[in-house]
Amino acid sequence: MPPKRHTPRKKPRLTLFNHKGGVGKTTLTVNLAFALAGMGHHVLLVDSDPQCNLTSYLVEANVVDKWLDTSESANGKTVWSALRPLLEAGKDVTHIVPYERAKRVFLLPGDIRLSQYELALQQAWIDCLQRKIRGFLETTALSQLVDACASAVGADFVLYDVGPNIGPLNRAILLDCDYFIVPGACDYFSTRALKTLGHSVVNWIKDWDVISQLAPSDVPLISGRPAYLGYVLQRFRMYGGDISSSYQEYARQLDRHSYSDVAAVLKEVNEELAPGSLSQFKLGQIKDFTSLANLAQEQGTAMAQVNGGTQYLKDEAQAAFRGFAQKIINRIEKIG
Amino acid sequence: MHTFGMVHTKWRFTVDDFEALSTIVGVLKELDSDAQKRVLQSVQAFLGVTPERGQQSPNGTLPFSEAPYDQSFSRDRTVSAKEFLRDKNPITDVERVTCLAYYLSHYRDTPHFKTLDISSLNTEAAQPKFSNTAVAVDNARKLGYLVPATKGNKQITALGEKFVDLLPDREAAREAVRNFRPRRRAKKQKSRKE
Repeated sequence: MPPKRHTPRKKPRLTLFNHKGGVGKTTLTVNLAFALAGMGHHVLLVDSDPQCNLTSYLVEANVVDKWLDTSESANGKTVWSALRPLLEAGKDVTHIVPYERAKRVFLLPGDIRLSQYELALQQAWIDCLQRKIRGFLETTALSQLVDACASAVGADFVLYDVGPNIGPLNRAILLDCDYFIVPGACDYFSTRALKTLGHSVVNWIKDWDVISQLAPSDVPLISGRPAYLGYVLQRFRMYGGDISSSYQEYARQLDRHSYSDVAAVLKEVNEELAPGSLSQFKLGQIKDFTSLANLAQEQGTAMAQVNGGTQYLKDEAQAAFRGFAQKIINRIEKIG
Repeated sequence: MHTFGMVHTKWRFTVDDFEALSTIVGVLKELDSDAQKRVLQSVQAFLGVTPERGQQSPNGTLPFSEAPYDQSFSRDRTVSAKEFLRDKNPITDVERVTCLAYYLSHYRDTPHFKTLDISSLNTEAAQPKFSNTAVAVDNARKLGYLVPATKGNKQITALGEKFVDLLPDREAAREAVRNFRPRRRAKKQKSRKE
C-alpha cells in the first residue's frame, strides 16, 4: 500500500453529518447522489453506517442479506470484506468492486461488522498518539479503500453515509472528508445537537493535528481538515407556498445555531474550516415529501424517479435536490 | 541511536523520548480532560518548562492544534448585529430598519420594540445614522414590513421576516415581496334563508 500523506484530492469527499438521528441523512444522501448523477457527475456512495441503511435503501433485501452472509469470504462485496484482512491479519486492505446502482451512481455496500472496525478504531486512535504504525494504517484504511474505488469508477464526488453518533468511525470518516454538511430537522433537538456537534468536530480536528505532527514520516494520513459547507433544512411542512408557521421558529433557530454553534466554533480555530458569511451556510430546504419518500425507499431510487406518485411532487423533488446539488457545487468551487 | 523522522516539527524523537511519551500518554488517557490539563500544567511548572509556541504554517497561521479555542459550551457565539447587517447588506434605510427589527425579534428576544430600540441597535451595529429614524420606521410600516403592536410598540411582519430571510439575494427578496399575499379571512356568505 503506497504511503499517503496530506495529498490534496481534486475530487471532493463529503458527508452529511449530524449525530442526532432521524434528520434524513440517508434519504438526502441518495437523492443528492442521483441529482449529481443527473447533472453528469459520477458519484461513489459509501455506506459507512453499521446499520447499512443506505445499502438497504438501494439494493434488494435478499441481495443485501446474501452480501452480509458472504462478507467474510474471499469474494465478499462489502466494506468489511475489504477492511477485514488488515484488521484481523495485519494484511493490506483488499480491493472490492463498487456496485453500480444506476448510471453514474456507485455504491460501496455497508456491513453490520463495521461495528468491529469501530471498536478497532478506538484503540487505533491511542496507537496513533503513541506513533504506532498500525494505528495509522487502521485509521486510514477506509480512506484508502475509498481512494481506490473512487479512482476505479472515476468518481467526481464521494458521499459517505454515516450513522447518528459521534463515535470513532464517524471521527475517522469526518476527518477524511473535505467538506461536511449538516442536515437538520425542524425540531428542538436538532437545534440543541448543533452545539455538541460543533465542539466534537473541533476537538477531532485539533487532536488529529497533534497526531499528524507527531506521525512518523512513512505512514498514511488523512487530511483532517473537513470544512463546514452549511446546513440543509428538512422535516417541515409547507402551507401557502411557505414553511408552515409551526416550523418557522425552528427554521430560524436552526439558521442561527448553525452559525453560532458550528461555523463560529470552527472559525475560532481556522477561518478555512467554515468559509463564508451567515447566509452562505444555508444550502437549501427540502420539505417533507412524505408518500414520495416512502415510494422511493421501496423502489430504491431517488424521489424524482419513482414509479407512481404525483408528477408535480416529483418535479418539485427534482428541483429541490438539483438546487441543493448545484448550491454545493457552487460553494465548493468558490471555496476551492 | 535510532531516531524517528518527524515531518512537521523541528524536533527529532529518540527511543527514550518515545518511551517517555508512550508512558505519559498511557497514564494520562486514564484521566478526564480537566485532570489531564491540570497534570500537564503541574509537570510544566515542576520542571520549569515553558511550552514553546508551534511553528507557523506556510500561510502564517498557527497549526490547528495550537489555535486558541474556547471549549465552553455556554459561551454565546451568536452573530453580532454588525455582522448580521454586513451579511444581509441592506441598501435603503427601510431595508436596514427591517433587518434591525428582525435581529431584535430573533436574536434579542424582543418581538415588540420602539423606534428608539431600532436607533440604539443601529448605533451598536456601527451603521450610519438614519436621517430620520421615525420616518424610516413609518416607511417600513407602509411597505408592510412592520406593523403596530401594543403600547406604541412595533413588530416585524411575516413579509418583513421573509424579506430579511432572503437577503442578501435582493432579487429573490423582491420577488417574494411581489408574490406575497396576506391571508385574509373569508367573508361570511349570507345565508339564503335570510
